[in-house]
Amino acid sequence: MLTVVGQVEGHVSLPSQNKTTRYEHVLPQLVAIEQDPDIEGLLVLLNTVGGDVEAGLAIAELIASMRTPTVSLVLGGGHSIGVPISVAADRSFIVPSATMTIHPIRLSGMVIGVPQTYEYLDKMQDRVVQFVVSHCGMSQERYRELMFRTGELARDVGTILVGKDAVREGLIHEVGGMAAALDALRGMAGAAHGGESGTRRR
Amino acid sequence: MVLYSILPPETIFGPEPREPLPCEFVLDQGPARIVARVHEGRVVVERVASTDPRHFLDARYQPGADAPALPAAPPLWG
Repeated sequence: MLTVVGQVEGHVSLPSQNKTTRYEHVLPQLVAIEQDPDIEGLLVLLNTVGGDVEAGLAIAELIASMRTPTVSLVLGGGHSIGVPISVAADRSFIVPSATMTIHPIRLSGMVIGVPQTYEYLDKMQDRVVQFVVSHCGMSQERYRELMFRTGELARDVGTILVGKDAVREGLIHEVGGMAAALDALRGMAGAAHGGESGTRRR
Repeated sequence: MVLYSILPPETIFGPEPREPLPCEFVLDQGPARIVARVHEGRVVVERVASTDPRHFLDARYQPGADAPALPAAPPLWG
């Protein structure tokens, strides 16, 4: 079981008032899980407000490329960079009360006012969008539409998807809690042991 | 750094920059690791620096876990 909580921390250590998930620890953990013959499946529990784009994408890419069966369960919130991590698992679940915020990325710190800054940001945005839409059932057009929607968030553009809305939009597979997520993981682990391709999507 | 978070930067970074904790690299029988002295002599694992991925699943070496007290640094002179 892996928890992705608080801020996904990138190359800059965040102040101690933040709860963080550190990529430099999570990435080797995923390698160890993949290599351990005694580990038959991985449950990823998410309650995250987002965080560093590249650290989040790195974790998401590793989860997506594992042979070990993976299931994600969104609890509380799976916002921003939590979205690609949620959809990276073979099977994804969200509890009815959890929310996922889809919104544009932003730059922090000094911003140089040149067209290249926007192009850089746009390319970064594109990496997130491409990963998400290639690992879930939502179209790129619909994802961008939700991302740039106005009038839903008080101080931002974007969309908040609650539980079943995330499933209806094709972002998450099922509404369900711990029992459903563990049942799915056991099923995939059993199928893998039986020599079948199981219920994996890719 | 590009943050993609629902929290505003002022909430994440706070009003003042954080003072870095004094850290030391530990090479002993356990995995190579960086430990930090937090307060009142407490020493915690800051980061595992091993090349063996199994060390990253060991509960004794998770970031924030209490690390055994370090021996006092030898004096520079005398």
